[in-house]
Amino acid sequence: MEKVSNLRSPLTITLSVWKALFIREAVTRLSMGRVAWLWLMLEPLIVIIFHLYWYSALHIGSIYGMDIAIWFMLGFSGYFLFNRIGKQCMNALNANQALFAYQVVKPIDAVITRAALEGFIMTVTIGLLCIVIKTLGLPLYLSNFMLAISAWVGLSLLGLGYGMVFSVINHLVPEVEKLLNFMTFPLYFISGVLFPVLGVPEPYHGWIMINPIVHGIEYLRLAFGNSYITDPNISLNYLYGCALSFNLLGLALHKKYAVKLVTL
Amino acid sequence: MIQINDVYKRYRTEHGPGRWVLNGISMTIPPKVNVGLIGANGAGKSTLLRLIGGIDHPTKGSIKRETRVSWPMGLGSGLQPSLTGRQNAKFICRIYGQEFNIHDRIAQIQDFAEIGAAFDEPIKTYSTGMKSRLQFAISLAVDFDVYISDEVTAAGDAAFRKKAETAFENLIGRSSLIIAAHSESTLKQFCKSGILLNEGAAHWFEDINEAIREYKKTHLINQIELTSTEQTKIAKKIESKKEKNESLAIALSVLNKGLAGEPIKVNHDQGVHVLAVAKELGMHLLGPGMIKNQGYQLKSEAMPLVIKFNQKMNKYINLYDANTQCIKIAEEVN
Repeated sequence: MEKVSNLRSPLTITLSVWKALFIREAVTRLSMGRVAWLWLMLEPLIVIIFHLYWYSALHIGSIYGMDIAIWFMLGFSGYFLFNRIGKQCMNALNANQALFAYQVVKPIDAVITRAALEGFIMTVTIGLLCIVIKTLGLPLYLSNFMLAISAWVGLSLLGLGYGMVFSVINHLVPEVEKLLNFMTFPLYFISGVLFPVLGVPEPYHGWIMINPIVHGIEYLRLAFGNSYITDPNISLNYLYGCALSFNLLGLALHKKYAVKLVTL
Repeated sequence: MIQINDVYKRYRTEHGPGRWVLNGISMTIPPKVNVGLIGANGAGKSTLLRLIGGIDHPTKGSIKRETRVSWPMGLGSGLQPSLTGRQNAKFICRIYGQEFNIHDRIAQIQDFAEIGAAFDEPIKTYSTGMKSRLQFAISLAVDFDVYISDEVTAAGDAAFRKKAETAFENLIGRSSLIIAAHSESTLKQFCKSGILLNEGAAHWFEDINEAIREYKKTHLINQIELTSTEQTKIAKKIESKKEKNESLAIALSVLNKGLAGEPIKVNHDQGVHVLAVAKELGMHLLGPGMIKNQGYQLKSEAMPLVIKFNQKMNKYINLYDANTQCIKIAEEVN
């Protein structure tokens, strides 16, 4: 058993793999095609402006004490954060299949680094959106920084967990991906992005509150407005609980099907 | 040290699980020993190398590596098509923790691969040869304790093969090798010990020469064992006839390849010609029995080369070094 000394520790290996994968993903995502990075940021902006346009046509200026533009911006950013991380993670395995030829690269590494990169891109995007909104002179004040970070991280973790679970399931049962596409479409409408959850009558309100994304988005809005009124039942614990469950389930699936994921 | 514990491997096919390629292999490959993998085509050499290199996993059993083992070199796999050669090289250096001197390593890779400006083009624009050259160069630039190679000389042209062999010689002392090769001289040149693969089972030999001897015994290896004077004689004859006509040149090159132990496929007319030329040169092109087909026969004496007729496409014949498959066909004819 000689020569063990020059073996790197598992932690060193994992960190170097994450770093390499992160750079690789960033290069592919940001430099491929013309001004790819611009489109990444423009997409949420265009969606927000589009919705603002028809809401302003309805003469709705504010929702429960929050300016409509800011309300939309935060809702869409939160939803995009979850959705984009989830989607990117889900496709992480197919996109990186060639790299699993190296013993040190595990499928879970690809999922985690994709989430990190997407989270980073979305954080920059929301930062830029805030600057745009501020320069337009809209009343944007970050009243509770820690709360904003908690909601933001919670939504990211939820996206990571969801992506992690379905990265395995989609790989083992490719048909699920097609189903998932139209199953997640309504998620957009029941996440409190387009209309306030407080205005939804029972029993639908209770059902909507099962969706953990709602909790994250409402907390995000709350962090940006002291006067914003929302459902008193929203809970960060619930958001983090869901995120944790998804992540644990995802890790377990990755562990269980470790060999199948790279040999199929 | 690499420990192989009761490893089984089969591949999934369209008709369910395939045959067992590896059937319960257990052995320990000691550190710092160069090992040659010997076996007929389809014996599972590449499969075993892929498992040892960790790019594939056993169906049953486990492989423990307590050293840094490379992936099988020169196959051209493990490169991301959308990224450039340089980006791929950087990625691999990073995951193997060679970031501190990455510039030197990249320069070394660029220098060794010799793919010119293509180094900064996406991999998807590469030819197979370019891919395997790049991958081979990257493998060498990363420090491993054990390098795995499927046919040392598989990558690239003659000049690159020479370079690869020199690189392997330089590795001796620093790292060890596990190689699969058909060429006896390559095995003897690089390896101390040998693994003989036969019908899914593996046998370990401390001495590579013993492994080769055993392989010949079981597989009737048909590399022509000519004395050096005989070889020169044939070479001279080949040389003197070279410019006569084109079909003769083809026949001669086929025979040359046959002498090197490579399987060759020629069409029917060429095949007839090859046999005629071989006879003229005084070479015994004999099969392990009488093979009746297309109007000529092969007689058994020694076993230098075997001519196998492709059953599906009559106009093709295969010149093979004899393996079990050929013998079976011969037996049927008898």
